[in-house]
Amino acid sequence: MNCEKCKNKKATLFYADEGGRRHALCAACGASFNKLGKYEGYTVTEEEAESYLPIPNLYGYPRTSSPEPLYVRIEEDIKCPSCHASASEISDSGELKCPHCYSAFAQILPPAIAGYATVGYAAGAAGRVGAGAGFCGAKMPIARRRAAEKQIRLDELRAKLRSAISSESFELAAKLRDQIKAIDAAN
Amino acid sequence: MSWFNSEGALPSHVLWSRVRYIRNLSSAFYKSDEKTILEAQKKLFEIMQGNGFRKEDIPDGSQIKLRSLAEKQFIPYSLEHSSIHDVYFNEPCSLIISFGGKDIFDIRALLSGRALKDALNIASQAEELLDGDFDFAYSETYGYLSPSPKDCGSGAELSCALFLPAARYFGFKDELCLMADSFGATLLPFLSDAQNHGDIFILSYTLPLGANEKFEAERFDSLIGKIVEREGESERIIFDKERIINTERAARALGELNFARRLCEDELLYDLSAIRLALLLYPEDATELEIAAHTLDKLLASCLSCSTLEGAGVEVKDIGECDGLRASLVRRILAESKAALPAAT
Repeated sequence: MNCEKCKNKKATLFYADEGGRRHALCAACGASFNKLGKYEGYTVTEEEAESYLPIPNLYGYPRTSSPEPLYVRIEEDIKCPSCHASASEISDSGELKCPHCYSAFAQILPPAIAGYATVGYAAGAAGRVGAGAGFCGAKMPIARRRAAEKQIRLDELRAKLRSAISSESFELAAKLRDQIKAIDAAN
Repeated sequence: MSWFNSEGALPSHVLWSRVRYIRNLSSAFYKSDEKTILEAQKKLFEIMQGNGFRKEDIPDGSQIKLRSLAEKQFIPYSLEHSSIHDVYFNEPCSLIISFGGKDIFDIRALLSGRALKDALNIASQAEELLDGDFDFAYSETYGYLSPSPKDCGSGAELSCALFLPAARYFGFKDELCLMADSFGATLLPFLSDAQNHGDIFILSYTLPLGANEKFEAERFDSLIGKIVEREGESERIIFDKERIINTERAARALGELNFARRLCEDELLYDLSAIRLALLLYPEDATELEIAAHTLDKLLASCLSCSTLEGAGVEVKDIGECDGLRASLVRRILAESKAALPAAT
């Protein structure tokens, strides 16, 4: 593979920019491209370059403001165990083939798209509970919501149980313990 | 009633409000497993029948029909590219469930005017109806999953169509875009690839995962209020001084709609904008103009390109024929609405 800029010398520097575009440059063009000379030490051979995949910037999220090369070195092209789609296919098409691809390709999906799960649940714990939608007013599948609501109820009862024990209200503690057992048994 | 058939609606800056949920199956996305998709399609049919939904008749290969439904905001445009698709309407046509697009389930509540909370209730109930019978693809980290990773998360979108002529006229559209952007929403022209979009903009907001839906809907509604207030202030300041010009514009526009033999989409949108502005600023002149506010919505929904072709039910060979069909459709709708107007005293 020749340098894309001078088209004469062999390309030894491979990277993806913030727009996700791949670049292959020779050492001289690469050094002039990066005025800070940060690409020294990132030289790879063409064979090694074949094993590199760029972290896909499929969605317009800037991966990082740093001009560092954005390759992730992997030993082989990852495949989804369910639909057998490969990381390079996903990278090219920009679409995942099945729900299991999310866990199979977690290392190449941008962190920006990870949900605000902990933030949302914390907001729920802080009391912003919406009526009718269950757990903190955020929608989630009914089965999970019921499990989460059950867990919150258990945590509340356990906290009350600890408080009852510490204040030596053993009759109340016994009732709370029975309630906890009943919910656990229902699980 | 569907958003463009709501009779008695007063002229408003908000044409429609929409809440949309996208959902996929935990076992498959659309392209990965046809057998699972066909089973889900059959199951959905049974659920819809049992809950009083009407299945829209879409002839095989009818791209025009699908695009016409998409133009009316009922279904996503991606449905046109899938071979397995169904569309279900509830009785007042305020709730639409489509199956088989890029995201398998697309649930939309679409109401006329500023009615976000009602739309949220309707859509939420429909989503829970399906949740009981389908196992949706969901992850603690990414939320509701989609083939397109940028669409995963809450899978919920709030949107509305806003009529903002002053924003275009006085050039503060960018200010409104920034206002929307700082909220986390987007403000884009309706028919973004058209030169003239009739001063109609779509304001949309994708809910972040874990957010309280009712709380976010209230916040979004207050953003709509701020934008409409900003628009209204500018309209009052300047347009009131140009009453004669604007009423004349509206009258000429109505004349064109009533008598033109060919009408392109741009001309239609321009005329609708002029009439809508006059009705908003001078509602007392509505009788003189002899047109109701909801007729404007009906004209908008029925006379866009694919809707015109679908309504005409004929094939056309060139744009000129389509423009002719559009003009005759507009005249027919106006004649029907005029007949339905109360007699002037």
